[in-house]
Amino acid sequence: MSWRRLLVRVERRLSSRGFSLLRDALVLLFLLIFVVGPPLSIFLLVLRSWGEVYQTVFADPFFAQIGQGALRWNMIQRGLLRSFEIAAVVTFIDVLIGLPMALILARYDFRGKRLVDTLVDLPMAVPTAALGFSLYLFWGSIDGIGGLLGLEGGLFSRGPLLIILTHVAFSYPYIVRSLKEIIESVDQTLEHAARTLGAPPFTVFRTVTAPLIKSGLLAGSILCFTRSLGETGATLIVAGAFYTAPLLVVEYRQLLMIPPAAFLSMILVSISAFLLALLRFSAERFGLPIKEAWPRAERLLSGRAQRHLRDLMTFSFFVLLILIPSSFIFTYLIRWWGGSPYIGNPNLGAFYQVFLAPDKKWPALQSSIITSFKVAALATGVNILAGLPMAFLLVRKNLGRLRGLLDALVDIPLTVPTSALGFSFFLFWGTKGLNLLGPGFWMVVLVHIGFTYPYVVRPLTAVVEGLDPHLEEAARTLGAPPLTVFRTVILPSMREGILAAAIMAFTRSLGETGATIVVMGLSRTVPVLIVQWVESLALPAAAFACVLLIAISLTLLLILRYVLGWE
Amino acid sequence: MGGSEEMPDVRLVNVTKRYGRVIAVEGLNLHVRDGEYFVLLGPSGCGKTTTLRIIAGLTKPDEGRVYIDGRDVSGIPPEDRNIGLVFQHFEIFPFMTVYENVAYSLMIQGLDEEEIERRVYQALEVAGLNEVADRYPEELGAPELQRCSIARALAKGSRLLLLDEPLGSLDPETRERFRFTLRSLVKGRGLTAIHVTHDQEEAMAIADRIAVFRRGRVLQVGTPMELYERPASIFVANFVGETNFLEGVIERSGERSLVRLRGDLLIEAGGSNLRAGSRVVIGVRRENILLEEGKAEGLNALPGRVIRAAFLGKIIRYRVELDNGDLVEVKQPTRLGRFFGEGERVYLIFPAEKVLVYPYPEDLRYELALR
Repeated sequence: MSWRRLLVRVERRLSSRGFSLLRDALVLLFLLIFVVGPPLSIFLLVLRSWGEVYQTVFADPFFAQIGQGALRWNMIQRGLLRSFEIAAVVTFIDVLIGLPMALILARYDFRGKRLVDTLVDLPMAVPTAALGFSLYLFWGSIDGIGGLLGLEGGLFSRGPLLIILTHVAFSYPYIVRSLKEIIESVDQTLEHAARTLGAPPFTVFRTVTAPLIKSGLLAGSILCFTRSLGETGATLIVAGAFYTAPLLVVEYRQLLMIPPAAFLSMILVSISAFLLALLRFSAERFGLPIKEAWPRAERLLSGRAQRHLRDLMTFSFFVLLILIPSSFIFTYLIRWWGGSPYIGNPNLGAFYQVFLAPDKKWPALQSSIITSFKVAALATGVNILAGLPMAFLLVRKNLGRLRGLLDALVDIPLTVPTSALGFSFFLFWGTKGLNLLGPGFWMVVLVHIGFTYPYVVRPLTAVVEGLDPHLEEAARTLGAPPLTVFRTVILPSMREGILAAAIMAFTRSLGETGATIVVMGLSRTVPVLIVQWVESLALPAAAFACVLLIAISLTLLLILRYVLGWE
Repeated sequence: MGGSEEMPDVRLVNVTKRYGRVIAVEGLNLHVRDGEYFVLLGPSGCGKTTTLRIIAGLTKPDEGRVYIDGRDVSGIPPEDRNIGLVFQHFEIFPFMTVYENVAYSLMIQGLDEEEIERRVYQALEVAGLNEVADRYPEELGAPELQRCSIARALAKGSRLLLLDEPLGSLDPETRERFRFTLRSLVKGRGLTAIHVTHDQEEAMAIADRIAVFRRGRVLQVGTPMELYERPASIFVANFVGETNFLEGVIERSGERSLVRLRGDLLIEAGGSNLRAGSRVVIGVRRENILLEEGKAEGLNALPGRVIRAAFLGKIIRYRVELDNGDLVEVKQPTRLGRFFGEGERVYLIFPAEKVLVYPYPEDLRYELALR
């Protein structure tokens, strides 16, 4: 009897109803324990230690002496308010400069379009800490635009303005991508019809196109807002003394002030859940009224010259605000490689700092690269194994209403600010929760499993939805039990999709900063190292680490593009 | 296992399948005999594909049972029903070569390499695909893919072959040629075949017996000749072959009945047990009518005027307006050597035996619809 026959026999057994129920149960259990449990459990934990939380946040005895019992509550409120304001400004700017770019990419064809398309994605490919550092160098240090303008320091110092610029840069690709997709899905013949009815292009856009894309616009805006709200890694670098809510979580954690950190994390998780619900349920009901027309004004705005001007401005904004600052770090590194470009001292150069200085940065960097890779590989591997059956469960099982709920649960790690997410894992697995782990390598792995889960499940779900069920039926009629069909027909069809999901998750894990800092203990991943070196003012060394990390991420994403062909 | 292993028969008993409030198949009773080439024929949405899928085990019926070779297969999954299925869109595995596709079922069965090779090449030979064994599906055209799909099902060795619109994705000439290939493949191996199609010409050419489906029910089961000569309902008469329908009233019934059409035109039909005075619809096949200049002895003759003549090579299609205003279409073979021009007066000649008589239905439009 051949091994093949044996394998098929085993697969026939494992295809039985009992086993598939078991498999579904395990998949849901995984979701509950490793992905959704920690952020949701924070409510329980806060409630359980409410006394402690109340005291430290609202009625701290130490600060009460100076009449500031609710000092921490004020700080938390301030942090939240700042985060919201920044997120709102960032979303507004991103939509303003991103929408025209999305229009250009969706509608026009020009030489170099592919290049622009790839460049627009650049901030997504750059790990957030590296992006933050690059932007800080460009806007906030004398080596950047400040020096060019003859200032003594940077154009912007660390603080809210710099945070806004940073968030605008890394949310930009998200807005452009989601708007581009939605614009592409609009039937252009509708717009042509409007033109034949006498409406100039601008009016067509406002009255015909905009209503058709409103759900995508809203979705993109909420996504943008949520990302800005939750960003930690880059913000850590560019905030300076200014703090936002996610940064406050990191600070409390580092000072081992667990109750306020837990409280704030709980608030952030609630806000994210609310935004997620908003995203899902209100996208259709939002309206862009204004049915009037102002033909003369809008005809003026539609002229060819005006369009060219608008396109020019769109590109300029993109290049000046996004592209150049994001890639500035390369310039910086080149300048500072051998030594200081101002006084020539080689000890201040990147090469010296990393390789020759006595504090052994190069071995630290090497080991952090290995750690980053180990974490990413483990997180990706586990999530492919757990995410694949989840994708099938979501698509193939008749879930009805439950599908929406399950989809939302899977997406939770995407919306929760990374530091709060990390903190919830810290509590869940640590001494206040299940008491199974302390901060360190394995907790980092668990956190990365949690937050890369949606990055694996979502694309896999799309792949499964695109599978041809008739192919599987053909295999069944040829004698193959369901599990054998999975192994011999479905998996080969999904090869590229699985690889794409794996690369995306791996890259995200490599670049993660906020959550890792909260749970890392003594382990260091590369982004964390970058933050450390920036804080200790070893800027050229940090730049070197950034460039290395960016190079690795870009290579992986290029492989991803290659694997998917060119869409 | 009951019955002979050689040629399985298939029996459906009271099979019903609903999708929400839509009834796909209702109270279906069917018996396909050993070694038959059986065709399920009907318009889109009539339930024929659902029936095939129920036999294959890809769809579970809400009620009823399915017996293959005497065995109740109701709880048995498709992989264990010992069937071969040829799909409309081929469903060839794109990431495997032709050889690997055809070998798939044998690989599942765990046979030796040599045995697999022997059976695969045998199937490829029969299907005429020896040259392309190592090619990938994307390199092949539709006819070759269809043959690959058949070879793959045949290689499995099952004695029951199910075919879902197997010729649907081919161009018309290939389709016609393939009919004969399919039938000879099936008959040559002594298989039982159940073939689904909406093409009545295909069904007539290829089947031993045909089941005509409409809206989830079987209207008639019979040989092609039976369906053609004695269609049981207006729908079957209309769907299978081309028929003219005229309204009338039974003037006299008996062994030879007399029917009065509109405008007081009288024709003779065969025997009918409908009473005198009943409203009827009579049908005559377009090819059973002859156009003549004058009446003919002992045959029906309806006077009219040619209003359109179309020369189509083998046949000429005429549209004739009868003196009572009804319109009739006639197909004349060109080799008769006669040609009538537009505006000419003619007589439509046809024998009484070729007249089909049906009681006037409640909803004539519905009966005449081809869905």
